[in-house]
Amino acid sequence: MVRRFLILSFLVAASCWVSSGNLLFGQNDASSDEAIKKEVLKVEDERIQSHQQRDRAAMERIYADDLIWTFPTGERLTKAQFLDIILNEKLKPYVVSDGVQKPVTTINQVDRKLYVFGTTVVVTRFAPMMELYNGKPLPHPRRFFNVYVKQDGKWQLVTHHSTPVAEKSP
Amino acid sequence: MRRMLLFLVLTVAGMGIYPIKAAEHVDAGSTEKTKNEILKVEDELIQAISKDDANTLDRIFADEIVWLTSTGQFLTKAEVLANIHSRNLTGFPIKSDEKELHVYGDTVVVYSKTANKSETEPRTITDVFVKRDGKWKLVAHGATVIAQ
Repeated sequence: MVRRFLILSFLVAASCWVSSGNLLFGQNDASSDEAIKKEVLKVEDERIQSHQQRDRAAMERIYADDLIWTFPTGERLTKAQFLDIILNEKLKPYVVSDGVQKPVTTINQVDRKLYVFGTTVVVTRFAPMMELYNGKPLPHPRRFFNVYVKQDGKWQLVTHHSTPVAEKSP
Repeated sequence: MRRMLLFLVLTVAGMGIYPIKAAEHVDAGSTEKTKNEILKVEDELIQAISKDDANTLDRIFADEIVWLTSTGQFLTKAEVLANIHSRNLTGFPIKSDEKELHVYGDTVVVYSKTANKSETEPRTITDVFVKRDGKWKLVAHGATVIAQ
């Protein structure tokens, strides 16, 4: 009786130890990598939507407080500076049709890839669209990456780095 | 029997509490320790690039590294290693005094600016490190020319 009880106690304790370890240290396999990608893609889509709707609450939730946003000009922006740009429409995607500038209403997610490193995910993309920043065109097209980190159970974007594609570049 | 049940409850509770306490132990001291570890790895990385030390580079670069060049191309680990080997080092990390480190547990983002002697245009650099199996790995690197 006592031996059986001790074995049971050991098994319960071991199972608690393993499951808490997995939660804390983010050990994951291929199937959980896929689940993580789905979670991050959902947040990435919410993020893009928050820009279009100028939803400050969503942006506050998705962007880490010490976010650094690197523009294709090499300029670095803090979270407050970046939110100011989006909320006050200082950054405007546009297309030129028949020689006339027109605003973009849909953002195409071109060549989007995700790389999972435990509780850190890197999202890469190609951005062919043209953008005006404070009325001046930004270099385009460009490639960029977004880095998401899971903190307190929530995925947050901690850094964005963007670079213009050189003309001779493939 | 009641004593046995009490023992079981205490054991389970104890196993649950320990890791939570361990997670709470991420304080200012450990952040500084992490920053020092990363600065050491960055120094190793710069040395390895200058010496074309393939073994060290292979250890520090994650296999699925995301490497965004200052001309807007994504390179694989093999392509980055080949560029280092052929001394095509434009936009590579160099020693910089203008480093800013942001720590998120086992993830660290390093922001720096280059003034590489071989480069006429300064670049802004973002490096992302993740601790995996007790070792810091560079998982993402981005370089952008600073518009004048």
